[in-house]
Amino acid sequence: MKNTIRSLREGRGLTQGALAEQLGVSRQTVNALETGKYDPSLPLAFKLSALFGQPIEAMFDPSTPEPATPASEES
Amino acid sequence: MTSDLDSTRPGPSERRHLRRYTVGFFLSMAAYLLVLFFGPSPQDLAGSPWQVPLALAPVVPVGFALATSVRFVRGLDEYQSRKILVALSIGFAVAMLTAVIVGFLDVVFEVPLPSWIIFVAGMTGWLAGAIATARR
Repeated sequence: MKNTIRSLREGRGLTQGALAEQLGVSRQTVNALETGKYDPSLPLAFKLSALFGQPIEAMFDPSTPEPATPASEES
Repeated sequence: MTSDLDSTRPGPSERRHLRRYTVGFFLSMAAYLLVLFFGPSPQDLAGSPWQVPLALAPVVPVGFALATSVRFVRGLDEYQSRKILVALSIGFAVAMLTAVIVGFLDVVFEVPLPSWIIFVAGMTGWLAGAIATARR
C-alpha cells in the first residue's frame, strides 16, 4: 500500500533506524513499510499515527489494491 | 543524492538484540565444538552407564543455542517474524520431503543413507527460504 511514511520521517529529520527505535520495530521493517512491501498491523499503524500526529487514512492510500488472490476471494 | 537520513544503520535496541543473539549463539557453538572434539569419546566407555549421557553431551550446548534462537525470534517484530516463519516453514517442508525420500531409498540401497542428509537439506531449505523472502 502506498504511504507517506518516508516523507513524514524525512520531514522530522529521522533516519530509518531512529524511527524504528521509536516504533519498537527493526529498521528493515521501516524500510519495508516505506517501500510498500509490507502493510503494518493495526497496532503499528496506530503507533505511526500517534508519532506523526496524522490519521491513519492520511498516511496510507488504499486506492491501489493488490490483485485479488483465490484465498482473499474465498473470505 | 543520499543524505544522513538515508542511513541504513539499525537503532540501538536492534543492535543490542542482534549482539545478544550473536554472542549467545557463538558461545553455544564454541561449547558444542569443545564437547564434541575434546570431550571423552562414548566408545571408550562401552558398557559403562556413562556411555549414553556422554553420547548425548553435545546436545546440551545445542539446547543453549536453540534457547538463544528462540529468544531471538521472540524479540523480532511482526514483519521479521513473518519472514522468518515463512523461511522456517520452507526448511521444515524440505527436511520432511528429504526424510521421506531417504526412507524410500533406504529400501532400495543395501547401505543405509546417512541421516545428516536430512539435516543439511532442512538447513539449506531454510537458507533458500530466507533468501527468497528477503528478495520479495
